[in-house]
Amino acid sequence: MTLTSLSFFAFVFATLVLYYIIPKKFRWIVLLAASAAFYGIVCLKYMPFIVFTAISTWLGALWLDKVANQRKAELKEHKADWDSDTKKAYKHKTLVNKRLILALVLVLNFGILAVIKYFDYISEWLSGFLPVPAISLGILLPLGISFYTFQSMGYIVDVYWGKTAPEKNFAKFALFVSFFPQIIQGPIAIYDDLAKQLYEGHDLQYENIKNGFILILWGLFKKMVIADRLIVILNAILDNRPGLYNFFGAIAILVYAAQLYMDFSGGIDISRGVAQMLGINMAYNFKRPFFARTVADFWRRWHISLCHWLRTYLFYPIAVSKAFLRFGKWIGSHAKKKDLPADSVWGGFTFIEHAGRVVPGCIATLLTFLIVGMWHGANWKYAGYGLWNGIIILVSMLLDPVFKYVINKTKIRTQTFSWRLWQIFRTFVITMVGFAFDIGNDMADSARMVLDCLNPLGRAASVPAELNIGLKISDYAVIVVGLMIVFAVSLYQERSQKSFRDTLGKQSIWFQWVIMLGLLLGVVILGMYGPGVAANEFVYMNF
Amino acid sequence: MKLKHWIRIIIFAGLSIGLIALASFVMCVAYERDTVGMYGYYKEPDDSISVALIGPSTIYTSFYSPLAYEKYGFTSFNLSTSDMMGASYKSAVQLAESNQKPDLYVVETWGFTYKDQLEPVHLRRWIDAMKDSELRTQTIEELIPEEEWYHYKHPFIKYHSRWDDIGGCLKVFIDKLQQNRKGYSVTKNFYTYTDVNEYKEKKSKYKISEEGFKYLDIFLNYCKENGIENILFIRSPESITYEMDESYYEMLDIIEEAGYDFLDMQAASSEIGMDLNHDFYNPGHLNIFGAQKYTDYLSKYIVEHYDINTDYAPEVVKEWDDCASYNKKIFERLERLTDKKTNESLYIQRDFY
Repeated sequence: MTLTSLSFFAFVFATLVLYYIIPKKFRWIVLLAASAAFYGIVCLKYMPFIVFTAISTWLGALWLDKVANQRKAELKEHKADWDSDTKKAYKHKTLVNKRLILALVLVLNFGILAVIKYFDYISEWLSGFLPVPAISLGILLPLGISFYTFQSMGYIVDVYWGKTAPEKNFAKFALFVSFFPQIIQGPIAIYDDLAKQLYEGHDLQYENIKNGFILILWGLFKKMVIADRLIVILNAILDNRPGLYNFFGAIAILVYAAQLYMDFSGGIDISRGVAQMLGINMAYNFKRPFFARTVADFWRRWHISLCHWLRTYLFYPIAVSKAFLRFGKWIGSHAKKKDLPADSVWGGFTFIEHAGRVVPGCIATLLTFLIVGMWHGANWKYAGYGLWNGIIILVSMLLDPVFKYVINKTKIRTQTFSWRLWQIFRTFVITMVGFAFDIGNDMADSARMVLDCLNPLGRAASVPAELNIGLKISDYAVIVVGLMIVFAVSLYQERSQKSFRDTLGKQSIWFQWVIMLGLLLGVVILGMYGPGVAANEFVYMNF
Repeated sequence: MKLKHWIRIIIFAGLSIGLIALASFVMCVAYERDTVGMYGYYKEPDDSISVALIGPSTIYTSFYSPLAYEKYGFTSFNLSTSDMMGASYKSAVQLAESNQKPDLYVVETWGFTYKDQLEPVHLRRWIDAMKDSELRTQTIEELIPEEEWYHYKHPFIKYHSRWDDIGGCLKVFIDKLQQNRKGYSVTKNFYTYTDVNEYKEKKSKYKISEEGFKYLDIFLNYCKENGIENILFIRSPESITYEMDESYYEMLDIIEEAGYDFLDMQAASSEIGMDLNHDFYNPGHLNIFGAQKYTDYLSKYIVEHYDINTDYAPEVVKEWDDCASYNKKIFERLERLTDKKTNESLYIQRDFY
């Protein structure tokens, strides 16, 4: 049962009917039952993993809460009779306890994820140069393990920080971990944003049903009409690449970027649409990433929920940790004090002073992007993908004053359309290089693919391979028109900063219906499905 | 949610279902000829067809029912699709029995020669040409593996991808509408190709396949169990010289043992008056000249050997008189085009006159 199957929509319909016919108070139970049923149908064999994560996180959060409450009570009780040293020692002791509990939960859950995801690959990699045989655990990735693990671990950290009160009801917490529209490929939710919405019963509202339905159609259009055609082209090129001209590598990267975006954002749209029909607003996961003007901006628009998670729970804790701040100060302390003007090369500082200010952030960035890369899969090429992006951002952070200085001196007008276009193009090219790491066989192959673009008419094999892509001219027309439609909608959203659905909702009902029926027929007629068409899974289902 | 919202949702759902149904009606035309040809069968009034002819293309290219009616007075219909295999014959008889109960079935033996009796493309041509019904579902469940039922039962799942041949789809759609308007098919599932094949000796082997025997057995058992007495098995004429395999004679024995008849029209080619240089559009199929001779010979044989009831209701007579009234015009036109070798595939009503 994938997000594009009829059985999934029958399942959603049944859930909607049940959800809205039973009393509000019990509606969350319908969601829990539906989520459990969905997981059981799709991935029954690996259900113990998600159950373990739910139980361990729930218990861990309660334990943390208990320690925190005890601490409060003890401190209150001994407010008068403990001196400040005793209080400090007690606080330190409880902090250590809390850290141990947190570490236990994190290690257990990230440990499971790491072992399942990386053990086989690392074992095979090690066997390449160590006299040990490769061992395979023979475990497939349980459905949504990366997503629900990150989501649950975000919750326990929030409880540890005291930002979130722990959920006392295990069934409710299990719903937060397993909510079925998002389990396949996210978005990764923050507990405070999602949980309350899940637990309160929502009224049946026409706008929610209509907007959810449009979002589902839009997602299906992106996935079934565009992405599933693009993947045919991508596979044909990648399967025959050694015999093709080098420029096919560039085409493959471009096709992959479009395919991945249509596939992933399409799947997210379907998930968000289903949730919206249930009255639940899930977080955005994409915000027109190819309009980004810097790589950092790209990562604020691409897979937003993962980046937000990593920023909140990894980047900031590292960047503002005492050790990193001390390290930054230590670098800065080596600078000779000079009285420089604000428009100097390093923005009124010496290079060392500037480095002292940005290096903690740079290191945290690099680590964060290494994790982003590794999150995508068990292969060093994914580490390369993360590092490429991390290094670009690191360099831009380090050289930011220099760029500003050059722009200032050369009097480039940065408020012009041409400059914005240049920034978008530059960012696009850089991110395309990053995508090469995704589709190459390994790190070296990915690098070769990028370098080959510099010699577009060269090729590796002397005999050209037959490139039988298997699509008709009409399919290419569908791809082009489909991409143009998505681009037009994105352009509208980018310029107006408004939701297309809100704008559509203000039009006459007949116009709305024409658009909706057009989308529906577009998916039904132009969608890639049926016998002889391999059902393509969502790319991010495997992450 | 207010009442007006419920009304909107219901109207929108109705529109969506209607449009999808229309799309599936227009676009399920992978095999245009078979779809259009068999669509006409469902237009015939109940109990109005006296002879049902079952088999692959050698049937629908050879037997022209309105001519048989004009000359011999009986009604007939070709329950025939391209490469129709023996495995589908039982379903064809079930279809005829469900609403026509003809006096005679004429069955082409070629259908039992196919090695793979469940070859999907061939099988689909018959199943997809059937109207959505209990019998169609039964046929699918008998012949198709369970995991594939869904796209046989809902052919739009397969044929939605034919949107890029919208011209072909619309052609069939319009012809279906024409048949609806007229109330019946004038040409009764007949097809011809306007060409003349010059005879060159071609040899082949006529062999009944193992699976062919299996489905012959199923077919005969069904007919016996359901009290179907009159079946005339035939072998249609071709301009190919066949070496007859033992299995062929074995099949004839089985047919004879079952108490049914066999007519070898290939052996009777001279008697029919077949001109190998003029009456075929390719070695395996008759053109309009051969089809007239074939229809005449087979019809005469039928009325001489079987008791065919030709007492029809007035509306049936009116329909068939109307169909026969086009015969002269149709033959003149098709003969002219065939002699000119215009190489056209003609099967849609308006193609003919």
